Amino acid sequence: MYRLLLPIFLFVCLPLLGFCSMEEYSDIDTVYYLEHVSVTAIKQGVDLKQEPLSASLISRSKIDSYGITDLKGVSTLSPNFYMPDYGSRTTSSIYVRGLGARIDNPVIGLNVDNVPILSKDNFDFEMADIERIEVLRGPQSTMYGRNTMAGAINIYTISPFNYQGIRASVSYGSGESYKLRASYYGRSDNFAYALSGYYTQESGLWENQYDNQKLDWEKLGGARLRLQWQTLSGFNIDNTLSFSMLNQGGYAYQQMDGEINYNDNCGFDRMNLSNGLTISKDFENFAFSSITSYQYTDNALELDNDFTVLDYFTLNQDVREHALTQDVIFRSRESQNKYSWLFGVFGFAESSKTDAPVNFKQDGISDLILDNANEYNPQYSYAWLEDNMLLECLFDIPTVGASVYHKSSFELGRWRFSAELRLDYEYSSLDYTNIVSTAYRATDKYDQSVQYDVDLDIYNNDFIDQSFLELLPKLSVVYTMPDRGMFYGSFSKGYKAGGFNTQMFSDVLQSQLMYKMGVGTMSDVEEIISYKPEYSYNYELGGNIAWPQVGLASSFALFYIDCKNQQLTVFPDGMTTGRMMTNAGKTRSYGLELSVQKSIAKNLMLNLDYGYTNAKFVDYDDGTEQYAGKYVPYAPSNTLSLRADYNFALWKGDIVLGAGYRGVGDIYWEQTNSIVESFYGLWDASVAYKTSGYSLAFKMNNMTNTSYNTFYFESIENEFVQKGNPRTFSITLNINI
Amino acid sequence: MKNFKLVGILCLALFAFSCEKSDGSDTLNEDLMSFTGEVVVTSSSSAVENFDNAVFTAELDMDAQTVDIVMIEISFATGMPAQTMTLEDVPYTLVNDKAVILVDSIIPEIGGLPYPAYTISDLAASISTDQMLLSFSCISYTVVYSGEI
Repeated sequence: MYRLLLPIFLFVCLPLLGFCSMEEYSDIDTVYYLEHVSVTAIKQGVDLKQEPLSASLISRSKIDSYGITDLKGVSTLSPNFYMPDYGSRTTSSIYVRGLGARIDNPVIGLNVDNVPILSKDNFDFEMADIERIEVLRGPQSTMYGRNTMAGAINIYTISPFNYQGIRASVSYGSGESYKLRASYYGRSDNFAYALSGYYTQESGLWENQYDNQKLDWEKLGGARLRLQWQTLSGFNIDNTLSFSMLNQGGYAYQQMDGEINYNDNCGFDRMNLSNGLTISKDFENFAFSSITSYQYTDNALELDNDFTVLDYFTLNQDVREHALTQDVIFRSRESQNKYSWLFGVFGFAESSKTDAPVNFKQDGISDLILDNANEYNPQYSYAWLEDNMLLECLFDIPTVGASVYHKSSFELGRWRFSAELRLDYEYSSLDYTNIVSTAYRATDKYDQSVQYDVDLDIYNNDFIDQSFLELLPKLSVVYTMPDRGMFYGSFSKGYKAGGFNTQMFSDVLQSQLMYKMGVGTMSDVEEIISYKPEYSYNYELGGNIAWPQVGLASSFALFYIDCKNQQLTVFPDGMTTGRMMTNAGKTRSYGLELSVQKSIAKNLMLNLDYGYTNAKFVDYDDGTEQYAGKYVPYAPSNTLSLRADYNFALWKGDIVLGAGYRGVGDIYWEQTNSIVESFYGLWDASVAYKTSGYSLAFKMNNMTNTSYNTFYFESIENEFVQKGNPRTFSITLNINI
Repeated sequence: MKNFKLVGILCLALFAFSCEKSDGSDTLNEDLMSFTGEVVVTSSSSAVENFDNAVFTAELDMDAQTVDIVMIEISFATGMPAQTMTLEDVPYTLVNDKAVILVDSIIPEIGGLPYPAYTISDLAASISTDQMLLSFSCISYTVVYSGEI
């Protein structure tokens, strides 16, 4: 606990020092309007700080100061928002307020320039030319639909109407990391365009002892073309076409108290193409917006699934996804009317085709199949006739959904009452094909001359489908204090769709093989593969308060969440290799969020973001144990970010000195709560020289080289962790002309 | 062993030679029949274990007067891995619309292979359209099964 209290103590003391030394209070505008940005959000009001929700707004200047280049960089900057850095860019696990998802559907939605990114596999991308990031915490299901039960992230890129010229960046850092980025922004009357390109490459930080090669290397490149047109008839047309290619290693998993040491390749490749078209127009009494998107992703994942030097088995997973989304929104114009409204219709169609062959190798066949088959057999000893065994798994998962939603708000003096409702329908099916063709030899233990060569063939081809119809309400009340802020209270229901545990098919096939050999029980495929939706009921009190006289702005939230059928990723018992999603009965979580910005004089800015969550099972019985009272695994109890930036003029520019502290924990790694990652903190520092057109920044993260774990999992009765990044540095030259 | 024979005889006396006759629609045929019921296993040390929801299937060959019996995922003791045991071509006699089985010894198959180590002795069974009663000895266990459609 002292590790958590020390940075808070420093944060409290520093302002006192500032008060002692400052000659006059700074203007609160210095603080408040740092976060004031042009409004491009379609579903929110004019000012996010007036909305009845707990939100963090990360501006362009903050993105530059903190060196944020991807969504994982936002982790802990928003209270109770945690996105650990492990695995590869496909492992985009996000935890908010005790809710989270390691696999399949996320608990938090991601929108880039109002376009929803449907697949969690695409959440971790290189963020270039970002105007601002909004992290909205708590269910956003009424406005943003499925899979936003813990919140939504809105990312807005720089509009070529707001900036013209060249933006470029060159960076070098630890792990032989190079980052190059260049953009050109042009405008001609009512037409504007931006063309951006980037390329990053790094050798990696972690070495595999098996071949003494770095394994978390990465090559990533992409381009984006944004065209904006304001027609004479008043339509705003905004189209963004983006493309990226990723080729990376990753998966720096090591055995607990061991080293990274595995013999088969791991890596992740991704090709992504997307186009988002937004058409909007302000009519006399209402505004109209249409957001259309197409997203194509081609992923290839390669894993040494046992992460040891033994030849257990490998997984190759090729996924091709096409997605179409359409959102149409009508909303009343901002006016003197006390009543305002919003009405929307949303639909999407997604096709996901997966080819995921699992290759059982010698040790896998021996330990996972033959040992089980031979253990109690009084008659025969078994041997496999082939060195490898291929389990072919093909999945076709189409998903379609449609929803209508509405929001009504009514102002009564300083009070504003809002009611939101969404009717959400989703249909998803799984068409699966499994093929196994192998053979084994049974030798009689009493008469070795008696041998049987037995062919084992499995062909499964079946179909499972699920549909969900949900009614998602939100009620809120806001009390406004002019020039000071607001308080709010809200109730909302969140929803995360059900799905299919396709990653469990290798275990299903393994048990089917054993069953064909006469041992074990037959798996109920539908019961294992399907999981149900998850629901949350969120009760919240909060506010945004500013004290301009003392240069202080703050926001806070208290929340209580009841969660039914929480989807939890668990490791099946015994000599299994998979992970599966299960519905974990009931959980509840409560906690608080606090963000404080304090400016001292004109040149010292302090930021505090702290989140506390107490998330426990109320009822979860997995058939062997009752976990009521245990902490929900993987969700941190505390997130903390402290940052101080001090700037002073030098020659033709400014020197900016920055120091920060990021802390996370405790994190329980599994439902028995026997393994815990205690709270840890990382100290960061930066120094930058900035002029109007150029900046040169040197940053160092985890200065004390603190050792910590970002991930834990079990496989074949082994325990693995991924260590967090050690001390790293980077030097970056930015050009904005 | 005496207990086992007694159970077998009682079963047959009660069900095979019952005066009550099923209605006309309940006639044995060659359709696969699946029964769910309880397995009671008595070990040589007289320890008794019960296993619920045990599924046994029977498929008659009316011409050959034989039946294939599959004991799905059967286990004789707690902790012992479940195994699916097949008794193929077991001869039966039709008595009052019940297939009655009395076999001294038979070698079961597991995973398509014969298992002399699990040789079943004193097999007695009665199979009707809605009920299967079966008992046998295997290794050091006596097994009694009672299941219904």
